[in-house]
Amino acid sequence: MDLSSMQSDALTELINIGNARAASALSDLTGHRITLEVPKVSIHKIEEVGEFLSRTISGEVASVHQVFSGPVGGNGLLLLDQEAALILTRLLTNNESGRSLDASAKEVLTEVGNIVLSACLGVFGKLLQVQVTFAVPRLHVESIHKLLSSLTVGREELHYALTVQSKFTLRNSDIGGYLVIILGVTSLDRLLEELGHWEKRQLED
Amino acid sequence: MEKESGISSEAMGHAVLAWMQDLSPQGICVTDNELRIRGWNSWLELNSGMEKKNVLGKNLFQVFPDLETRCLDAYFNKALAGGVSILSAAFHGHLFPFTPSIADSGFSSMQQTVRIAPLIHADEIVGTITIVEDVTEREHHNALLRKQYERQELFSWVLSHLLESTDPEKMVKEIFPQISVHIGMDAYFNFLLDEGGTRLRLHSAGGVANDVQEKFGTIELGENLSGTCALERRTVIWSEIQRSHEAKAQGAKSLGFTACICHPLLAQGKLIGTLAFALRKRNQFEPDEVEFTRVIAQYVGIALERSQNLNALNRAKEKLRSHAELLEKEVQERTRELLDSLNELQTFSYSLAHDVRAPLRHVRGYVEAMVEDGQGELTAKSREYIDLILKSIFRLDSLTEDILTYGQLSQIASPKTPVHLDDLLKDIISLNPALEVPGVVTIAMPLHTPIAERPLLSQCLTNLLDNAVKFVPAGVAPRIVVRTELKTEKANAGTAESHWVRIYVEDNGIGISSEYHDRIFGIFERLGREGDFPGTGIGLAIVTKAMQRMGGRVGLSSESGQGAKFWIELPARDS
Amino acid sequence: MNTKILLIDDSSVARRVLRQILEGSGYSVEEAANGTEGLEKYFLNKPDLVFLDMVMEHMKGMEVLTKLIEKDSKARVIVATADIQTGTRTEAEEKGAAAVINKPFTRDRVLSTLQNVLEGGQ
Repeated sequence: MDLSSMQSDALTELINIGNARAASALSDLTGHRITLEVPKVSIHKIEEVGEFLSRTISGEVASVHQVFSGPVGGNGLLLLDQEAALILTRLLTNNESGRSLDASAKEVLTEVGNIVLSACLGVFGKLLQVQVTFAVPRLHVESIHKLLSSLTVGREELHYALTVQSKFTLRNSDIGGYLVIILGVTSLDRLLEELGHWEKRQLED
Repeated sequence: MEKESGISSEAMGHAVLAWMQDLSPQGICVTDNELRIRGWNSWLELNSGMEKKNVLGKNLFQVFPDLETRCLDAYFNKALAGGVSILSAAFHGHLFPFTPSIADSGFSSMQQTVRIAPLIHADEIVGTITIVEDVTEREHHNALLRKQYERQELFSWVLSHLLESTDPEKMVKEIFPQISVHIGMDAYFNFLLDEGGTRLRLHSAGGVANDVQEKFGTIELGENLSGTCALERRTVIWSEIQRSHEAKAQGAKSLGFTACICHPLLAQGKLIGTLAFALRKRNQFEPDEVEFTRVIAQYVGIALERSQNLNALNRAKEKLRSHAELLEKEVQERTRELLDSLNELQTFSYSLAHDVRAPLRHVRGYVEAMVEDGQGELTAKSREYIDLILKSIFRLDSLTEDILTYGQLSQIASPKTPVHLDDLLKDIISLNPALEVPGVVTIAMPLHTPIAERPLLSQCLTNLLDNAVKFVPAGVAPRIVVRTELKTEKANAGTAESHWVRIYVEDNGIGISSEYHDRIFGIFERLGREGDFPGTGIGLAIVTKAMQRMGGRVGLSSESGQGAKFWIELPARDS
Repeated sequence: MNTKILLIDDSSVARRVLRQILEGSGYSVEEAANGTEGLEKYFLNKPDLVFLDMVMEHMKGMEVLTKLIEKDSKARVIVATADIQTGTRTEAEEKGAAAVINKPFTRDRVLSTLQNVLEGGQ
């Protein structure tokens, strides 16, 4: 599915706002300033997203997975390759010695993923003016394909993956990752429709 | 969670908790949507020390006021808005302030991983549920691993700095403060053994006032902790110092130390100093601290040994260098002195000879005039005297001429060229009437051609031939043979061959006994009785010097009474 | 005289929203889609005020702000960003921003901030 440049622009701006909320929350938590970069947004069929992601992320990835439900439901994923995951936890916890993702580091990542996903999905929820509830976040370390195949996605309708490539700078280190939001076609249509209204609503308030 | 109408949310909360209460290895706290505590399981009772009946119904922030001051209330509010949160131990430490479950964990409170979620009943958010997991042991383990890792890093840092530094002694002083902080030591002392080996001199110290450092500037072996360590050459550990009554420990006690450890610094088994660390709060060292400081001491020992070796090497080098300089200077000075005196001597003898010749000619001139003028008036006796005077004048003249020639040899150089001996010999013979007599000189053909300075070679052959014709017993007709020989030499295997022309001058004269062979080439050596043969004694010296200058050689084979066979040798012309 | 306002933002949505709010209140508006273009237009057209986004490709908003103030210390810049970190706000103010407002925009907030800055500068 291709986005019109207007849709893509609006979606980017919206996610930018979500990212900024997440960055602020992380900054409050760690005391470090986070510098954001412009996110890159694209939409793929669920069957094709694995291939798309594999182009930039290889090997095992650390993912924070959170199911959300309500009038709009789906899966939210934050993906970091192993290296980025390690750097991020090291930077956040001031623990320079981390050589592998131990239980403690995994927990930190889960908390970070939860904050990022809540912030972004929260912005969507607000846009759509719906109440979304979240399941407990879970962390996995596995290959992209294994991760995607383990997602339980309803078969009754087409699913799309909204992927956001994000980059930010923390304590002079660049960290990049993907935010993947998997939605049914109905939810996605609604989201895109609401995007058009969002612009107008800002003028009304 | 079943949808049963008529059941209150409170009742439902109780039901959930009742089911999990005794089973759960984690804390479960349930609140209603006004954050009043509605569930408090036995794990929470056990760990908080607060009984369920005392907390039920109370507002969560009333029971734990610091949740609000730590801004953790936001997570509960988020749950009431449908959001789920996970609070990692690394970021938050704990939610509820409980006592750590394991002793000596290093944490002041139980480390917790917390999940806070909305409690939903019939699509409505009716409250919050909080799960508290005790992760103290895990975090303790991680902290230990981290510590171990940091120490390893520190070890390699210390080692690389000590070994790379060009001035390890200075480096030791610089890195100790950092080491002490890293390993949580309150003070350190590094003593080095004096050259005499009886006292310790403080090299560097930290964590104590300057006047203390002065006070312990030098200590005797056996004195205090470091002295004891140095004397016994083994690690000494003192614990619970403040309770100690031992005399040796009073110094450490007065500085407020509670525990001390001192390692000997050994270099190839030789004591070079000590390294001590001290604590002010804990009464003893952990086993890993003992090990850690021991390794540091080992490294420092290696570094200091290296430093000492380096210093010794530099000192030796310096000594050697100054010695060589001195030697070089002396040699130069002596050479210069020698050259000076040699030049002086040559100049002197040359000018002497030169200055003597002019008056000598005058004397000869007047004597000859006297003979001519007083033809009839001179008595036979007077004539005889005048003859002797003239002979002496002649000898003196030859002598000065030879001295001049000898002096000139060292000063004027002409090019080396092939010299045709045939021409040269004819010239020489024509100048000396004694040689011109037929039958005296025989030249054996063929004559090979040497490379030489023509004037020098001419001088040499003249002298040799003059000698040959001179030293003949009375009544014997002189016979001289000049011949040449081509010689091929190979100095060493592998070097190129060199070709030489050897010129023999053989006579039938008185010969020279072998005991004199070494001496005759010196200046003023005359072996026969002075009166018997004319000559100045410089002739052969001139030959020797001339041959040296042309890179040639001179030699003699002769026996007394059998005639002399002189030879000179010069490089042959390439043919 | 008509107050001229320059919008520097890489998001067309943000520019459109701001343009409509501002033009609706009688301001004349000009747009730049990136930092370089923004600097160019600022020194070419000398607008009375700038709305500046922070999170942009290539030249970041903070860099644009620094350059603007460096060249024209009287430049009036309102930083309009989604970045709500206090550190960002402080840095922008230190670098000479007249005000900081957060995205998403609301008409009231945009206009009241704008008025404050314009009055404060006179």
